[in-house]
Amino acid sequence: MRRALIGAGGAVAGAVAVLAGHVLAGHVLAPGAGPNLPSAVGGAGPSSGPNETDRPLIDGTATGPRVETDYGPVQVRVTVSAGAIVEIEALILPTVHERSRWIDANLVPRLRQKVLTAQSADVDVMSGATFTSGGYLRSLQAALDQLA
Amino acid sequence: MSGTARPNRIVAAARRPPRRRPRGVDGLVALAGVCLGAVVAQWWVTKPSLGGGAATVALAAGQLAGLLGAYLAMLGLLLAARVPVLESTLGLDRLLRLHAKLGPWTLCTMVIHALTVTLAYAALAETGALAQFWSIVTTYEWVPLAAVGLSLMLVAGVASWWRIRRRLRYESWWALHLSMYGGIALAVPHQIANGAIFVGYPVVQWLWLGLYALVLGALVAFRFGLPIVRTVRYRPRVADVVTEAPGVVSVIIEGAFHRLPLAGGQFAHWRFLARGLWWQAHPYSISGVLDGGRLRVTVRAVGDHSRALNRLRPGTRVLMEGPYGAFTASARQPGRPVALIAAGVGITPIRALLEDLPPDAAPAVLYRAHDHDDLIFQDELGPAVSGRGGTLHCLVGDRGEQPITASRLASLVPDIAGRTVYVCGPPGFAAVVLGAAKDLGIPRHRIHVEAFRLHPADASPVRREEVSACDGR
Repeated sequence: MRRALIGAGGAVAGAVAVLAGHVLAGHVLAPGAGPNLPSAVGGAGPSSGPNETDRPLIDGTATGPRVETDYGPVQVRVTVSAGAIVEIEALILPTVHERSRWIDANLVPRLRQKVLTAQSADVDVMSGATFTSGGYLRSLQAALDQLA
Repeated sequence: MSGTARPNRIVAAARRPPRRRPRGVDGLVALAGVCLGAVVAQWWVTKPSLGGGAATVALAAGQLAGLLGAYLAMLGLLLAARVPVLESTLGLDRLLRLHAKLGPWTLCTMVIHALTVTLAYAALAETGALAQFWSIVTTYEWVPLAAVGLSLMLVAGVASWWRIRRRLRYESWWALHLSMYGGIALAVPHQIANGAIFVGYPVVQWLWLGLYALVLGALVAFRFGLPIVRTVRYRPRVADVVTEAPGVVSVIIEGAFHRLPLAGGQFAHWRFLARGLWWQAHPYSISGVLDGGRLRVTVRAVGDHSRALNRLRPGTRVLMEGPYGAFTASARQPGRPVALIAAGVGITPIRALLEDLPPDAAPAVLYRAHDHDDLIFQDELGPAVSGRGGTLHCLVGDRGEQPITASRLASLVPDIAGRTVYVCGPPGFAAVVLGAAKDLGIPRHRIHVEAFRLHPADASPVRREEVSACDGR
């Protein structure tokens, strides 16, 4: 019983350490942008979204162009609320290759988080997913331009 | 009792007894907790968005299952690694029971991982489950290896299921069980290369590999390194084989044992380098340290192996792994008297443990045997117990004739409820004593059990007899 408490205490400490590490590294976990919050498109976004660009974004939804990559087309739709990017949906992703499907399931969600944290399409492409993330960010940038 | 003369005299049991280190165990438990919390938190941060529908939720769950499966596998390896801190405090048998309990959960978690991830990918890619399974196994980096690894682990796991295991020779089971190591190793690359919590996080990749290295290091150091070092240092060899009772022999082993960390009540895995014996190691209790630092290992001849011990020649080299076990005098609480309860050859560790008790310990010893001829160490037990102001009760008869009940225990040892209780015998006997002790209100942490499996063929004709004091017989 006592050892169970020690183990549980250790688990909490380990979880807090990892989450703190991510916050310090600026990865994710910004309010409203966390992966744990199911995104409600058009719903209430964060009350004051940090917008790191000079021009404030107009609230609304915009669909970026279909961008062709070597592995297939990519197209995203972005939603802006209270001047902040609150949601990015991938409308089209490459699915022909197994590796692409794996990227779609594993790396694209992380890319979305990076964009939500940075509040901009100006984030690094993901290593291991150069083509998909490059296309994703280009389509996104074009969509954001429509709302600028 | 056979008429074998016994020139050997018990001089001591403990030689530099290994220390119990509960704080060390606490530390390892905390470390295991930290790793679990860190893994789950990292998964939470990197998992696919749960807002993406059932397929992504399943994918996230499948990823978590894979991580937990790998975590449990590492835990299971550590439990079997004979880590001295864990071993001397909790005892090898308890660690291995935990290891065996953890096994099925580990395999289930891994199978759930494989199934869920396959089905989730199939849904995301809008293909059939079988087609998706085939393409994952054939086209993903490292996943084919992991699939082979999981198959190996499943085969080894099924072999450990008691319904299968009881039909296998120990050696066949052991060989199959070894393939667990291969299975676990084959699954590592796909975790590092494809796992969502690792890709893009080199620090996490290195930490995870570090954990595997730690576990591997512990296995190599404590399961192989330490026994080799001890065998080279102590150079054990057979000095003599003595018949204690019909079917019970003591192997006297000599060697440079003056630095052996040994407490009375412990056992070791012995491998006798003689024809027909060298390829298997068996756990046998050390029943005492004789003059000249020789160890006496007492065995009831129930299997092929223990029967063959009769034919051991003096000078035969021996490899030893151990001593192991937390069934020692240091498990008792200071100032609290002990009751030692043994059935049959279960008296062997208790015989050695008695030597570690102080002169004023007043131990109560209950010793059940089927027959008077089966009572061993009679000439030693009397003086060892009475010399410490204790009492010895020999209960001769089978379980029907000599039932161990709460009232029986209380009448034989009136203050038993306040004692620390040690039980050694077959599992059925241990369970009966545990039940009786529970009825007496003795808390479980004050009961120490060493149970061993006996061959079913050891039933022998039994005479009905009343309790008799063994002293002076």
